[in-house]
Amino acid sequence: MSTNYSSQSSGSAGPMRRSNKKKICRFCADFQIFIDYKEPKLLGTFVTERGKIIPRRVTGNCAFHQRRIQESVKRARILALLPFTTIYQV
Amino acid sequence: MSQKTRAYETVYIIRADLAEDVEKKIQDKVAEVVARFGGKIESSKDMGKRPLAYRIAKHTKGHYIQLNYEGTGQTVEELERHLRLSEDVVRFLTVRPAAHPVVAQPQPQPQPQEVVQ
Repeated sequence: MSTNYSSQSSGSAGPMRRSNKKKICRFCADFQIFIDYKEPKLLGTFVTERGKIIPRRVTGNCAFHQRRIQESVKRARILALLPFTTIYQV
Repeated sequence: MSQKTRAYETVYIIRADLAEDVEKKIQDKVAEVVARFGGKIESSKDMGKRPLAYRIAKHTKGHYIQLNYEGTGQTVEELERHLRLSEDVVRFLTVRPAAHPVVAQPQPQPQPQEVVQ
């Protein structure tokens, strides 16, 4: 099975270096922020250009808040506040 | 049969190109349906006209209205039935609102960080 350890390294063949710096969850740092499905501006920062939810290994969210984000993004999609996808059938 | 009263939040989208008095009529009708089936409206908020992230039934804009109320499961059922039958309603979503954030957030314990070699 081909592993993709090096998939994110910039083209070099060696194993990917992981930085020791611990990412902190934005919402734990500032618990005034409420994750709400009615706020597409906030949720949009946790979604790729194509509308996919960014994994928490990238954003640094904790599991608790990632679940809130996930739920909220999915609700926002139903209300057409966020896209399901940006590829449309023409 | 005892039915529990809970807080609900419904956001519904109506067409953006309606006259104001028609919009008013739709909202009054919704309020009436909620009241008729044992609901109590707490607040109604106009979230304004927004572009839709994708087209729904050829609409590209929608007028969002948020409704917070208390009621039973039957209230929700009837309200959703009403919204579904109404042709000016583009989309709706009912959720149970989350507890207020500032109280509900868990306080993370700052742990001494170990550097894994």
